[in-house]
Amino acid sequence: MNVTFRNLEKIFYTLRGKVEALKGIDLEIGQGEFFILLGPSGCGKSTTLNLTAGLEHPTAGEIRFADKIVSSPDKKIFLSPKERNVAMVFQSYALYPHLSVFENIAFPLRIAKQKEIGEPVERTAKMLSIEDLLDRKPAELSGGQRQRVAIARALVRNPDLFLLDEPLSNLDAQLRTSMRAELKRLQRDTGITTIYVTHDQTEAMTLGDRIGLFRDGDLIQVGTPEELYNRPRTPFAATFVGSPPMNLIAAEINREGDTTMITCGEGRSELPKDKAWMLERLVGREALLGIRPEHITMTTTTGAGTLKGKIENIEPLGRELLYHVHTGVGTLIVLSSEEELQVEDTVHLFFNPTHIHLFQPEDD
Amino acid sequence: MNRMKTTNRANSSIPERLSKMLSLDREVLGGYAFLFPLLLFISVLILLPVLGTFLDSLRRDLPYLPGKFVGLDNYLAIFRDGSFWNSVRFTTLFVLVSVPLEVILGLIIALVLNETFPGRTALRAVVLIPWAIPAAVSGRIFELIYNYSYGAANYLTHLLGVGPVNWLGTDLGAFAAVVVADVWKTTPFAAIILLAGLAAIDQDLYRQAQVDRANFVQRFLKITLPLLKPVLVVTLLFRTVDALRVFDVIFVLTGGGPGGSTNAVSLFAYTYYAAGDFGYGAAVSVLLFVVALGFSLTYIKIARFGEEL
Amino acid sequence: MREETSKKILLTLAAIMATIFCLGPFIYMVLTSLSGNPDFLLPTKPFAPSLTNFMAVIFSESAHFLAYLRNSLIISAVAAVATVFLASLAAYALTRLSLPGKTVLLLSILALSMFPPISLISYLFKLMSALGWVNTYPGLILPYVAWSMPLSLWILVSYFAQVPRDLDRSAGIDGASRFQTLIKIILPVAAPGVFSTTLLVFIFAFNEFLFALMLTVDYRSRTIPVGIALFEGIHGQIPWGEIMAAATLTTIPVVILTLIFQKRIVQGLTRGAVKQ
Repeated sequence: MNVTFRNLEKIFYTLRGKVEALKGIDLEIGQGEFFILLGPSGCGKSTTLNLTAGLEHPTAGEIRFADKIVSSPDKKIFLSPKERNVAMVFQSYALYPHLSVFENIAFPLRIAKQKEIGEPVERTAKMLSIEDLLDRKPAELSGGQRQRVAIARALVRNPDLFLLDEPLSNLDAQLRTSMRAELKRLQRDTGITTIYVTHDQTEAMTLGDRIGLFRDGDLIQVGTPEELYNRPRTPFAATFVGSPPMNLIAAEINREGDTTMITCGEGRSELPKDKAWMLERLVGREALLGIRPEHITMTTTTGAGTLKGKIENIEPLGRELLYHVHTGVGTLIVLSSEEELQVEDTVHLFFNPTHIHLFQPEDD
Repeated sequence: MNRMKTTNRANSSIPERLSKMLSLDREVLGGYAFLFPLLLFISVLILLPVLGTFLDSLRRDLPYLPGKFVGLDNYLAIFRDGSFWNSVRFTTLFVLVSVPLEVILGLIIALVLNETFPGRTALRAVVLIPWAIPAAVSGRIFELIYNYSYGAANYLTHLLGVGPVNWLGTDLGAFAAVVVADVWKTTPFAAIILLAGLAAIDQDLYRQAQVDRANFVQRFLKITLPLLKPVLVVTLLFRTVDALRVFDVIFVLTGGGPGGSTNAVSLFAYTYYAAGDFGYGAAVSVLLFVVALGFSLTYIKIARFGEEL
Repeated sequence: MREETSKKILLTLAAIMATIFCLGPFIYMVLTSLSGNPDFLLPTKPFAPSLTNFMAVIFSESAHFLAYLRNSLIISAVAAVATVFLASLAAYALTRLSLPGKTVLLLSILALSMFPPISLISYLFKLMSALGWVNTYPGLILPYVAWSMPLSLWILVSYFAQVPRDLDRSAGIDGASRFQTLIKIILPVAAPGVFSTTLLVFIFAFNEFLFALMLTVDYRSRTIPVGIALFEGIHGQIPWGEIMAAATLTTIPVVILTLIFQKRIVQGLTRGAVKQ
């Protein structure tokens, strides 16, 4: 089932005043897609999820499930969660502490007064490898097991939509990695349209078919992980996605004939022709240059148009090292497998033109 | 338009249509429905009687005369009534003596219970016993205790070498008897509440103070008391209101005597009710109500700061 | 170290005195009930334990003791269950639904519990008279329910507020209505608190005096506290032995309840008075 948001808006009136949690977003999520809502806390991603589930009413706009309106203040339509056939997994799992695992999973079926309960519950439990835990109570389970129960409860009634609100953030790192893989496999096997909220960009990149990046109630960019990583639209998108984050430094644009030169301190680079479209973002001669740590070449010998710097700090990552290089235009992070350099060494940096990004300097 | 009609008809039920009619969010309507039984009970069985008593106080309501509206006559009569002021004096003295006593004794017991020692649970259970016993029953027990000829109180005074005291027959004796009986009954409640307040104090503060070389008394004065203040205030407030409206123990123990010297205001009003004079009794009750209301409004004001649901 | 020992001594002393203070009258009551003569403290009178008092109280027709006991138990139990059920509904609404002025409403309701009962009782009596419910079970149960509601609400709200909202949302998504969520999820999860509250209301109703005094007339609905308070002898001499026997029989069940459930009771009481 596909989901459409049209001009979706949500305003909260709190003790501190008016909060615009969602500022009119448009989005289309396709059938069977694993869609990620990504962003820092307070960006509106959880609000979007709650609106989709029917746990909140939108202030304005429209939500459709497969072309059927489920939420529209203008048309005075609102379907309760029960009527939407969605399933949700909360960050806290929200397992009913007084019921056994079996009863937790069976709960939605019992409410719906379904006659055949045993079989669906067992089948779903098996799908999540928890068929041995059916008699236990939530308090007796580990974090990972509780999560599986929550997922099982969600999937047992074959919902049209599967919503997850930061489900992995309470797990330790190792468990998180394995659960990520399992969730991906599960979604592929069941084919359920899934909307997943997280602030962890690694999770978003590994899990999602497409990602919607949110900030302060606005939808900044929508695209595949690859698009977000290689073609970020704003400095925020550029630095939020990818770890370690993209370097952003002040640069100056000079057109000389039909070539465009970018100047950063004493470093100079020519903008490749296929990136000319980036110039359309710019208003004046000043720009923000973005380059990812892995796309900077670092040498001890100087070259034409390189940027000179001194190594301030080295963080070994195992396979590679993160170098913090202090230059005339700021500190740059460089990812390199070069092991021989030391703090206080002088190096020369060269930016790979194919991976240069240009942004309009925003005043945030 | 058509699509909307179809959707709505499928979902239309009585709550749906009602909420649409009142243009209320269905959720809010449900909320009020849940509150409704409680509000109904409280309105009919608490607010209405209070209102009724108010109205009664403005009427002459006697069993052998037709009732009629007399305005503030009852109140004027009350203000001229010596025995009324007597009961006010007694009640005030009673509050001023018993409440601090309860709170202090309660605090001592709470301090003891706050420590860990074997038998602590048993002690807490023992402390609860006076609270668990019906006030009327404890009234009778104390009536026996204060019996002149063979009660336990005079047995104790005999052991101490003092002569038998006419507890229930003298003004002072009766006052003391009533205070002791009430304090006995209500100290457990104060103790339990204060214990909760004590337990809520961060133990690290005490450890820090010990490291800073503060002794027991200093720790008590500088840490315990200040941090206990909010709970103390609440306890004092509750206990004061309860002491103002005291009835059970006094009714059973002294019946207001001897000679009306232990006539609490509640009891004073009751005697008029018992005689059938609802107008006068109601007026006395209203005055007591106004004073209690003052205290409860104070409580609301205090409690509002820093409380959110 | 000196402080340690002196503190220990003070503590023990205080504990002993507290025990004597609290248990003293209680023990005196039991002793008197077991004694043939109430004046056994006098040097010349012996203490001869016997059960005659108990026999007299239980089997005496005119004492109506068993009738009073039955009335008390039934009235208290019904009032407790009814109060907690209705207060649960309200507590659910107050903790789950966003209604303006919630806090003020709750505090105002709590303030009702501070009204002097004497200022209600006359009109309540008239009300019950008009309904023909004086000296009946409903005539006492309904006022008890109303009167216990404020404090019960306050206690239940504090327990319900601790049940995570996510459970509600989850149940809602699973298809449960608000009422179903209350019954199937909230009440079971908050069961200890619900139990504490029920216990407290039961004890309150069982021990209540003034309402029972004014709203009952005879053994058909009169409760124990009133029965014991008004227990006078037939021959002018107050039958202390029998009174204490009745008192013992009355208080033993309540005391046992308190001893068994003291933890729950203490929890309920402190929730009621101290917002954690």
